[in-house]
Amino acid sequence: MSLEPHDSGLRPGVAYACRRALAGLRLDKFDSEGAVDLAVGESASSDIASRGIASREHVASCSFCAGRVAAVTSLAAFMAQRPVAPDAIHSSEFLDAIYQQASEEVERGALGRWVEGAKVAPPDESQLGSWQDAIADRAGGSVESAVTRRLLRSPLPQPDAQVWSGVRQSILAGVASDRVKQRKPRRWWLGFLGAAAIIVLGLLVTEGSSGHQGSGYRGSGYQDAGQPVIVFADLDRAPDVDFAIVRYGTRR
Amino acid sequence: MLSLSTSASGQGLTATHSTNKGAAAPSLPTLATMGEAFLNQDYTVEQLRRFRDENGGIVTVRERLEVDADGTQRPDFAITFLGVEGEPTGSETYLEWQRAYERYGSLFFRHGSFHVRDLAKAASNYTLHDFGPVVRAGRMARRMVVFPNLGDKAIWVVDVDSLTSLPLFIAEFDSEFQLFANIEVVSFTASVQAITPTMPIGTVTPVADFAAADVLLGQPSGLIDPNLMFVQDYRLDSVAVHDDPINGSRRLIMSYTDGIDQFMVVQAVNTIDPFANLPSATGGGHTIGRFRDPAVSALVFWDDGVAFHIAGRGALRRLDSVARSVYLQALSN
Repeated sequence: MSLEPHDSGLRPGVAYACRRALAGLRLDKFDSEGAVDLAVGESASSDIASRGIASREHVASCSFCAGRVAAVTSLAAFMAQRPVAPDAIHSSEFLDAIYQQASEEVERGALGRWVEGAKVAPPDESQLGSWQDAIADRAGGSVESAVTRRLLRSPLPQPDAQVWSGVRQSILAGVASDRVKQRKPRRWWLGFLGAAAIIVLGLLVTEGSSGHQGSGYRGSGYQDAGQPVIVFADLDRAPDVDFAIVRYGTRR
Repeated sequence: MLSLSTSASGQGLTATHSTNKGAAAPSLPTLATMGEAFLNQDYTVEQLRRFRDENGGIVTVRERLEVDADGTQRPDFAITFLGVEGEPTGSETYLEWQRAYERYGSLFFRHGSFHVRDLAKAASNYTLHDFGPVVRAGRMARRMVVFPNLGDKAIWVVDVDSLTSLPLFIAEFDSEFQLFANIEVVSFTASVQAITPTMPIGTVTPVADFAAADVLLGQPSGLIDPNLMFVQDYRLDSVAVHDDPINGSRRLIMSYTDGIDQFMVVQAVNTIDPFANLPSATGGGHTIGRFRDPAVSALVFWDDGVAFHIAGRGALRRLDSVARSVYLQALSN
């Protein structure tokens, strides 16, 4: 199985056939031996059933997908038990650190830049009371959020079962495939997507067979059979190249 | 004060040169007159060169540049570090930049300013716009904007001396009008004194083409002649072999130009694989390390004892395709 080269970061993209096959699996069902149950439920509609059968056949023949399913199986064994909440999350200092990190990220982002650049006249402080009192009045007597109050005063030893089930499913789906999501088939979209896919694949095949044409950036590229797999890894500092020295004067 | 002189031909002292070797420049500069001025006009300038530091601030370095034009794209020149604006002599910053000029001063002249490297390419890839008269360094000049036809290249604002057509002020912007480079001439003389060549840091040997460089480097197996025909607006501009006396490394540097902009393909021989321990390498994959900020795009990869560096301006994102193409060529070599 070959991977598409990805043009941002270390995680490679997943081939279309594998992505489709993994999306057709039910990752929340396990057999008696603890492996992902690839069988399709009897109550499933014919579309889901046929897709599930195709997924099973693909997984049986594809080492990449078989590996993903095996990874899901092993991880599922660890995630079968709801974890015990660590004591740290019940401390106000831990929550304060989360709030601070979130506010710093906002400050560094577009909103922060906009606020810094906005021309806002400072309010007349003599007309203002304590801002904390004002917020507390609106919050029913405390500046703490409802979430904070609940966490600090009523700590949960374990996450809610339903919440944990959703988290578990999301993690297992992520291990199986990037952005895999089980969708209810919408028939009237299938034709459109199919036509678009045919057009895109046709362009890729045509462009790939004629090699590079013209100038300009071609995005993440494509993978022909037999070509080496190339992955882009982003660096956090400029390498020791002459051009960087010309720009910065010395190596950064 | 540190002086670094470089002689392209290896020859030494000459007498004081006459001033203007070319015809008088017309009142409205063109790419042709600017290109001709670089080839034929001697000059001595004291100028301020501004760099961005690691914190996003500006460092202003004062330098003296003396150019003895010889009709080629590689004239004799001397670049002298004079100081850092706002820094006392002998401070840590002063010494750091003094060392930078000692080691890399030639790069600042060859690759860190504006000049027309290929008139035909420049005329097809850029348009020139007149923004009226200005006064710069006490001389009459014309503010010109050099605008690229493609959005992934720099926009240049150049104050061109009305008499000599040499740039007295250079500002480089990206498509979002962020400033990346700035050179401001504070004094200008259309002549040059005798240049005293000194021993350069490292040896730079210009060669005619890749084949000559391959022979000079001992024909290492991993060295390749990059096939970049698909980058149609750029052409091969120069080929040179660099020998670093500090670590003994040898590099082949091939520069490509679209008439004004440049990117480089560097091949350093006898190197180890810096990505050998990455998961992609153990799984049979091949890694291209990429650094990109608004000012610089730099991509690095390795094959068969040769480390490849491809670098250009930050907006030139097509260098990703260039790197991928060169890497595939190296792997199939």
